Amino acid sequence: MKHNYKLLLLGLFTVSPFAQSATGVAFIHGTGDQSNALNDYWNQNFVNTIRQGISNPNNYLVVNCDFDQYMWDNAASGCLAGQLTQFIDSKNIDSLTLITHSNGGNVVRWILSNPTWDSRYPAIINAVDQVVAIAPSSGGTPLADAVNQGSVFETTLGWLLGYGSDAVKQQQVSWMNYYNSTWLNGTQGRPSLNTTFEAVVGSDVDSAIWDGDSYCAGYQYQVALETTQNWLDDCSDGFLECSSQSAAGTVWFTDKQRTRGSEPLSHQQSRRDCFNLHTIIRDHI
Amino acid sequence: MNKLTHLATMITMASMLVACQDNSETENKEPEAAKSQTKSFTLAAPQVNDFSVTDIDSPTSAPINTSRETVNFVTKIPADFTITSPSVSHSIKSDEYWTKVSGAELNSGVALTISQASSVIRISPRADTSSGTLVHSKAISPENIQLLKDSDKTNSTQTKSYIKSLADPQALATAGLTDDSSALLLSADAKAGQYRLRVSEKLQPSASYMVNVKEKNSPYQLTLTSRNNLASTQASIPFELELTNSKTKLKPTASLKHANGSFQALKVVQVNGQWQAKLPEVNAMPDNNLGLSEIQLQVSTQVAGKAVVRTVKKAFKQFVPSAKIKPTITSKWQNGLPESLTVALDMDKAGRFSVASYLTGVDEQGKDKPILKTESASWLTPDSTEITLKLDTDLIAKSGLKAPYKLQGLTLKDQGQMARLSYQAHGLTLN
Repeated sequence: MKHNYKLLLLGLFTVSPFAQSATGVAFIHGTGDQSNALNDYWNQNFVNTIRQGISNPNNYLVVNCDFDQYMWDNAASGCLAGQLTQFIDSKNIDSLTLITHSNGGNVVRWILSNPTWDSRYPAIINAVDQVVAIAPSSGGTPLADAVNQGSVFETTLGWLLGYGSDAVKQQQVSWMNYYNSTWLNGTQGRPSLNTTFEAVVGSDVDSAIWDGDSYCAGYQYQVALETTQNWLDDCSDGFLECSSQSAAGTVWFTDKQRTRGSEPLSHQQSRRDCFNLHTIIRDHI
Repeated sequence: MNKLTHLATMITMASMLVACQDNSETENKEPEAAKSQTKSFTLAAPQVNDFSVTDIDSPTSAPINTSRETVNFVTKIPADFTITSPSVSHSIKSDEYWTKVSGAELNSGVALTISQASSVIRISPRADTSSGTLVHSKAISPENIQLLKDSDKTNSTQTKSYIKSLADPQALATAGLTDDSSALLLSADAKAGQYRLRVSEKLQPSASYMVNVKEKNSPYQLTLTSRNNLASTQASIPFELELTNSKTKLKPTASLKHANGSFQALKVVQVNGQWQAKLPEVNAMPDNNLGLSEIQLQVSTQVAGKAVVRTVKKAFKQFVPSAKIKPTITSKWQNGLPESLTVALDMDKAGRFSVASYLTGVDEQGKDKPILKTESASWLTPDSTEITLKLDTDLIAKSGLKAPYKLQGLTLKDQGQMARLSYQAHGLTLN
């Protein structure tokens, strides 16, 4: 009788639609308050190409949240958890790939590292099989420090003007040191994330106006880059140092190793369909 | 996947138990070995790198996380994973300095110390509150910026020789500096020395600006090392400060910057060779739990006859010691394996706390190897102070590791303050 009961249960689970597995892919933007990330942050060709890499390309989600907030804020990770949970539940996703860019990698690491913070997190953690973290700001950026030099009024004003947001504050180098040592997993000497967290590292910036490649969502102001590079290592994507991008998880590849024409990926280019990045990711997931 | 959640586990187990309830009651008597046992253990004595709080206090700021839900999570840990104590301090290097100036000062000329060629000077408009309201100071057109060397005659025709290039706010914003700043890059033949930065366009006298001098790859790097966390019971911030290629005794000035941006000057003293920044007696703690505090240090010194100025800042978490783990931990066992642990806290005020720990077992060589990590968080009150850590007996059995099982890396966090309250490398041995 007991044995039969177990077989019955097994049969129920087997025929239940809930037992069917499904893969999915979600695109998670970086700093900013997005309402149309598909067009305003990524671009359509980038997203539509990458989602062809999963068995059912219709199982995709482009996340829109307020990542101007601290990563743990309900408007940031809470919003992300809500959208991922709804996506996982509605599509019965049990193998989820996350494509993140920049600070989106930190928000995802927050969820993966803090399962007891929110009752929605455990199911998300269990569903995530892979994170492709494009240019993640895992170690912060000195440029965030630079725009946060100041006191109370400057900070408040920064809010009004849209810079110096909490997310930018959080991405200061010593702030990320703190969070990496206390609340975020995946960096050296810390617990692993229990899923692959593969970084795509942007190592250089082409900005010369005579180089057509620099116009793939690239920089136009050589002088500006020449200035800001003073805050960054020689290896950077113009916004993040390579050491920051590779601080968490493992490095999947550094731009020039795989991109078309061995072109570097600037921080703006690495969220667009530049130099075959989109097809490289499609073929990987 | 090497991951288990108790949510999933509990749902599955509940289904199976409901399904099998009738059979288990009628067909099998529970074997002796399967009987539940309850055992109590005492936490081990803290070791050198452990930290904890002593006197409990009540936080006054609103908690960040007010969730009332209890969440458990158990993760399988690879046997080759090494449990390491969290770092308690970090170092930050600086090859730059910044100073706040007014519009009037920029119009009349601001003295700047430059220690190398090809430095960058950045001028960022900050807030002007002279009108009683918060007003953004005007961004400065880079063509109106002049740089004079003190040893030169003061005329603008000579200034351009020190400037290699200029960048305006729009251009800098495209490159990640999004605070309306303008910048100039010094030429490669500009010499170290005293300069005067002047803005020719008329600025509001009370307008506020930040002047930032960046000297990339300077041989004079100021390194600040200090703690990542500071309890409210601490009266000072200990720190180490070192300027590379300099043996000059430093005389730093210090300030505390709260997450809301407010600054307080700190008195700096040296006690037995250890630098300490004394916290103010009032308002030393932040007014909310968001973000981090920063200690900021400024140094002006001479190195081999060359003036060097540096500012360095480092973030840390100020927290109220709101709870600590009581020494007695109770455990439940099934079939000779631990299936849960209950931890009680000393605490005064309701809040959301989490406890996490690794469970290890002994391999054939007699070495402790990790089996799993267990975490649990709950909203606790002074009348209900217990958190139960679930263990997974299947994982323990399948690991092949034997008793004595140990709790290692025992961590208590206050999720309301976002602070780690204690860490104990070796929590206890489950004999």
